[in-house]
Amino acid sequence: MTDFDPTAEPDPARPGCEHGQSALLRLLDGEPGWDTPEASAHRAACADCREELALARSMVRLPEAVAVPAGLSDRIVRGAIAARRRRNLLRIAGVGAALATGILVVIWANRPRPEVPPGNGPEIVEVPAPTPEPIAATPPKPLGTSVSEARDAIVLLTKRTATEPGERIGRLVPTLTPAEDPDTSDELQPLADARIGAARSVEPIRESARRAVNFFMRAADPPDRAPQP
Amino acid sequence: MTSPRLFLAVAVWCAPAAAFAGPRDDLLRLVPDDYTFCLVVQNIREHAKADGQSSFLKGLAESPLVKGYQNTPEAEKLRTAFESILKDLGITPEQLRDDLLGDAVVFAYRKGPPGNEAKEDGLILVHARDGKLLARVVERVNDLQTKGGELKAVEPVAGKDGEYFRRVKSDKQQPAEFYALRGNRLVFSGSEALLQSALAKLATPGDGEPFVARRMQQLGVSDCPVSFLVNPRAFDADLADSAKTGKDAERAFLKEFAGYWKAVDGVALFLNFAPSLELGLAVHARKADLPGPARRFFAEAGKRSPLWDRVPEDALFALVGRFHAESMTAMLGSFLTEQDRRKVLDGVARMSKTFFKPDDLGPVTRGFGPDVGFWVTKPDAASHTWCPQALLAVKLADGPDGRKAELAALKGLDFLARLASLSEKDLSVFEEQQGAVPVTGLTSAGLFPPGFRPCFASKGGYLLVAGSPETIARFEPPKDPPTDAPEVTVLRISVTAWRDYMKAHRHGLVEYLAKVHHTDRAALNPQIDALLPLLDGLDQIEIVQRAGPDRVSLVLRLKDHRK
Repeated sequence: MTDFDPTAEPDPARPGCEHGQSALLRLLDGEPGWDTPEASAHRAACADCREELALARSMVRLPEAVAVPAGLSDRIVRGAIAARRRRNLLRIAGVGAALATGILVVIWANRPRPEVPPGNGPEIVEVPAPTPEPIAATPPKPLGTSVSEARDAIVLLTKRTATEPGERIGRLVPTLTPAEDPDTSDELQPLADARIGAARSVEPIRESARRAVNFFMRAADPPDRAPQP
Repeated sequence: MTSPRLFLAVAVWCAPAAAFAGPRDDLLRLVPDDYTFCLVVQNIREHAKADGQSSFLKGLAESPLVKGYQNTPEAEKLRTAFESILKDLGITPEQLRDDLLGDAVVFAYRKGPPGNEAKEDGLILVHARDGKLLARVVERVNDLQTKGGELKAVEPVAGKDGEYFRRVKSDKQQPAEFYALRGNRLVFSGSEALLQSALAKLATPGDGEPFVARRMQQLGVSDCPVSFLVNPRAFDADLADSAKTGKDAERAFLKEFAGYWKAVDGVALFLNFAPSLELGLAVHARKADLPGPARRFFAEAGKRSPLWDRVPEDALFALVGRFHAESMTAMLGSFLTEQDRRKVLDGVARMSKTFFKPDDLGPVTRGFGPDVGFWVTKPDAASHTWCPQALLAVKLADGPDGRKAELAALKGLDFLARLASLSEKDLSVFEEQQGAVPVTGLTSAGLFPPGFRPCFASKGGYLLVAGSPETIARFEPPKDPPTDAPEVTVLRISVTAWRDYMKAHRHGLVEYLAKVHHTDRAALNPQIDALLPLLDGLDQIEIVQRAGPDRVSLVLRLKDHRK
């Protein structure tokens, strides 16, 4: 199971999840008939919605005496969206850091090392060589495996450098909560819908870029572990 | 004409063409015109020298954070795998960088049609300085993979345009791959048809500048060591399909977006190492095909605001631009349906009722801008505070609309200040006169950091909101008009000024952050200590906008000390 992260993917990138997400909001608002046959059918095929439902259920297991304020779910969702925006911003900043790290790896791995002239270097003390222990002969690694390992390491390193510095900066930056005006939320709804349209407009490019990366990465995979398209 | 003279004349005549048909263009003419993405890496050998002179990269590499990454299991795994690959291939890192990949490498990708995405293909092209080494490495790769059981066979194929090879995988479910070596060039593809098409182009003399090279020229990324090109035409059908589904508002957005997209001829992400590190996005669009409001908005945004003359060189942060509110509103409004546009405008008018009557929304919008600037400077040494000084300046248009905007802003801000003072007993409103300029603001001994007295005024045709009345007093309204410039700074952060500021005022700042985050100072200090070395060697961070014929680029630039 993947880790549930409400900020991981923007909702517009999950077309078809509308029923699942509407049901989730109703559950958070404490509506008794929160589930619908459409939402239930959708969850059967959508792991993300199932995980979100599990989390939401754990959140609403509150003592009955606790009154849930009106619009609580709306505020939770807004808070999650704000946090997601901040994290996305930090991720973008992190990509820069990742690029710089990538450059560094190349430069530092390939930088010319100064040769130490004989006699001018630090005094070298000869130590007796340790008795070599018998090493079990390991078969040479196939080239494809080495390439594949390098690729995986680059992916993991990029993920780390793209998230960790951003999280450090995030801990120093004060969180700003945008002012809310409940009276105008309906009038500004078209802007929210247009934002979904904006996200959908770049979706083909994002999806093709993902496929392109996978396409060239597959060339580096040994046959026994080549991922499916 | 004698023979030597004739040769000289021919040589002089051919020289530009020879320089033009460099290793990169030699590869780019093999890229199909209907590519989707194209990654071009060129002249890495020379650019690597520039990287070595970057004090920022040196500081970054020696920072504890990056050193920490160098000791991670992932970095260790990468190092081991990299060394193993080079050992297997029998080459040194320098040979890899300079002799194999130093000239040009191109990755071209063609997506499948909508609904049949798996029908994708791609091309990998390498122009090596050392053709013999390239051939040896290719042979070695084939040999290792055959012995390792990954390849069943490497079969020569007699093609119409010369011999090429088929790499047959041991796993029958894996498709074969194809490659050809032509002098210093390697052409590799998973698609035999694409390889054959590239070889056919190689067999004929080039007829002028390759399509992708021309696009790079238009986008202003010809000399960038790394550029990633997007062919907008590859997505026209997807966008048309998207606009058929979704809510009305979504479809309206997508339909309008498709109109803008059609005017775009090319998009590129690029990376530059010299004279500064730059990461940018370039868009080439036919201005004549853009809607009127968009043309007006981008024309205004491309001019240099005279407010930059008022921003101190050592400002900690400065964001200055020209935002033509009326054309921006019209441009954004075109992405909504007529009904939604009215609904949103009603909502905005209601939200702004503290400042003006709903009917005045139009005139007030026209009355602000287009010059807008916000900057933060170090506190005066004499002010005995750690709190930086900030100023927001918004140009007020000449004429009745500007006057209306000025009155609306002053009335609204005055109302909000007095409302705040009523709701918080520690806050009080102050008023002072700076010559002919009345300044109103809030003061509080307990709530605000020392020296912070937020205030506002209208001065010389600008609406000002500042962190103290002294900042307003120092502001001299610029008299010069905006100017056309090939490059306009949008955002600037002086890292040098931040370093000085942190040296002088770290204690006060950490106390404030600890208060805001409800945490202990001891918890924040290590966070700051870990981040500060990242900025070593860096002077300035900028975001600039570059304009060219039918082109706009947004560039993040890191200025460092070079040797």
